[in-house]
Amino acid sequence: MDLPFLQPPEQRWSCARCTVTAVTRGRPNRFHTCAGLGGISAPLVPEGSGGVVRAVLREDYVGGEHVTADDAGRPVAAVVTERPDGSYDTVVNAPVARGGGGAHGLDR
Amino acid sequence: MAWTDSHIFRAWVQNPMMKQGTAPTGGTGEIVTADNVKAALFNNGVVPDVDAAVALTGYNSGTWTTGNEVSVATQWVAGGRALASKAYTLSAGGLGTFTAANLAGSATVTLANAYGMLVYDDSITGGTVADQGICFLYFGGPTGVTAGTYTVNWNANGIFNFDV
Repeated sequence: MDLPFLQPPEQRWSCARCTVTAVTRGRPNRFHTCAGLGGISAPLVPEGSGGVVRAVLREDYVGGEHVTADDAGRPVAAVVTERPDGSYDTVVNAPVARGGGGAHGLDR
Repeated sequence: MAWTDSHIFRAWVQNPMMKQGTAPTGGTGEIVTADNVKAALFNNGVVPDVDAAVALTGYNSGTWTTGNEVSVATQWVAGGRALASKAYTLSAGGLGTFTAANLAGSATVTLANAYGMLVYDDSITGGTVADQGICFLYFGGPTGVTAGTYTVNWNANGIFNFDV
């Protein structure tokens, strides 16, 4: 008996902040380097979903923290994908924990 | 004082890393790539202290109590998420770096006020403290998610690093 070959449905992705698009089958998400968000890594949203992606800048001082920054040098703490129904996804950009301290002459 | 920055605990450097003082039991301790390392979310009620005594650095000890933890029933559960693909590298310039696979969110969850993470060694079961903390990471403010996925991407320079 021949078994039918089932292929996941096609998913089209786009970004409201830049011109990048993609087409996938069976993958839950797609990330891209977004020119509209200063070159940071951001998710694409399903085409036609009305989702919007925005960067969340770090609220607190950066100080000596090693953080993710956009092309303008602004510290991007997270990237949020907002949907029209009020729900949203969050991708946090964790900083690096450094060993040592300023008093000992190490970078912090 | 609440969250201000991200650091490796000095107590972890002393022991197990440099084997000074009471050795932990369980796991390999200093070989974090071999142990079960977890990362748990915490709110702004914690007071991270790079100089905390080892007894105060473990998960559910010191300031890192479950009462301050941010968790939900799925994926970002109490106790945090285990790190996969852990790796340690030493650059030619002498920078030791520990990293792992990003903690990608796939479950739909709602959580709020996650200000940072405790990264700890879940394989350490005793000695001075169980689940000894390795480092803490400050997100720079509150983060959360509503009916969506919550992902933590590690920095390009690792979860923690130090000059060797």
